[in-house]
Amino acid sequence: MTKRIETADEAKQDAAYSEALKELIYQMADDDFIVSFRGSEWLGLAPHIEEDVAFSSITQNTMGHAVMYYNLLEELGEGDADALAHARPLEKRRNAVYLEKQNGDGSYLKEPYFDWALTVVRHYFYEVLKKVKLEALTKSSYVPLANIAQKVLMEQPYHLAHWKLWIRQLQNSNEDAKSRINMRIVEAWKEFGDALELGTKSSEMVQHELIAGEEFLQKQWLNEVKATVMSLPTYPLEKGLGNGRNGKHSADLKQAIKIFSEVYESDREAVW
Amino acid sequence: MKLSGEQREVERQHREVERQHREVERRHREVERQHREVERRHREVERRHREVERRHREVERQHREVERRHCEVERQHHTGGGSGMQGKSKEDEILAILRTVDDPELPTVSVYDLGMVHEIKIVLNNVAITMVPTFAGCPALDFIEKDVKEAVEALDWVDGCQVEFSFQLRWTTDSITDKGRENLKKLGIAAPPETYQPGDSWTVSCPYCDSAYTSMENVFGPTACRSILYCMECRNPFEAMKPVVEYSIS
Repeated sequence: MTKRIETADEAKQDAAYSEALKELIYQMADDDFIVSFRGSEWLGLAPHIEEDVAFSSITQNTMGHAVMYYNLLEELGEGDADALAHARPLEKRRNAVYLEKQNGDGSYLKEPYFDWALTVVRHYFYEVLKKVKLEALTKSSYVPLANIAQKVLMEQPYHLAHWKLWIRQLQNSNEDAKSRINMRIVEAWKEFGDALELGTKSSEMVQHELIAGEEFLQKQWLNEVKATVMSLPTYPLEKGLGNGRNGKHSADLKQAIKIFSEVYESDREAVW
Repeated sequence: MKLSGEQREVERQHREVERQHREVERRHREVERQHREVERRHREVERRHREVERRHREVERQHREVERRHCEVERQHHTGGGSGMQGKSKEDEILAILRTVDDPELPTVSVYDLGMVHEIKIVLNNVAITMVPTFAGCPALDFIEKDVKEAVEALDWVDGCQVEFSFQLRWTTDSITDKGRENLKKLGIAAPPETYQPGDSWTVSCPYCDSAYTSMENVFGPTACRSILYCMECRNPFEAMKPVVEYSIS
């Protein structure tokens, strides 16, 4: 077994190790960050008041998880955590491309024709993936990352249970609900592919025992999803929107960056 | 003559309308007067409310002062026992202060009783405190950091206090002390259930009437660490600390 690395300074001694490690943390951080940004756009617009409370709580907590990863990157010498979240250009971002997809037509402030079925499917698929990856990360050779995974795993079951309940209820509901959910599942199948990958450094990640391999993660994810979703496409998942793990993103991420960096860009030196 | 009779009748009705009109005006003034009275009382209540708050703060301040002196006396007791003893008593002093610093979102429940204090290191007159955040997304952390720092630095012998939150450590609801559980209950917040498995549904008894006949309204509450429930027995909504436990991976 690879030696356990206890600190950032120790990780920095080995260039190959730290490059693979940083790549992995960027993926974890950027996924949580963009998912919580899209979640935050629903604030005040969720289907009912209790959902608004629940969804915003999940979103706030998920943003907190992203912060922990950006802090790890800061310790590894990648620069200020706030800048990593807000000021990094599109091509440096490693989130899966499906997660950046807009909530629907219109915008948060003006005529938001958001689609709840997209949100339910996306968040359910994502939270299952997050759980599978976190469980693998608890055995990571990088101890600070393993510790964070343990902490997040104590909070995340609530998030996963929430979206699982929505999937269960909507697919057992009327024809309208069923067909909307199914349509979004088929769509996700064509676009979620890169989420289940670890990018160009995936073999190094496995070699350094930072996380389990893609195949294992995909199998775990599929088993869990199969147990809940009634009908899934039989063909493999596709990467119809591109591969975010390699920094290839859609115009939707551009739109997101423009909005979430607005306050940060207005005064980079501001102190709270 | 018939016409003048009708005229008189019209005039009479006219006077009647005028009289009613005056009556309405009179009542209107009366309502306005009452309204002003209500406003006056309202201001009075607000004033008293502020006064109570002021006194409350004063009592808290005195409480801390007493606590501080208490520690001082204890410390003097120990000083005869060598430097190791002195270090220990300084730590006790810090712990006593931390028992008086409340969580900003849970007034009357101290950060110590919530199990957020992990380690206290004292080097000469400098104090370094490591704390454990409850939930990762908790926005109150900056406030807690500031409150702890200020309370500790108020001690005479302390030159400076650094507070650090470690995300490497895991807070669990088991870390809440018995006093913490008791104080939460006084706030109308039920302590977390003792047995919980991640992902499972759970329930707690009502903090007001102790009935077990309660229902979960929303597992997500006003803060990340709380849920909203309803008591079917006493018909009160209440909150509960959300259970989090160490996650065992099979």
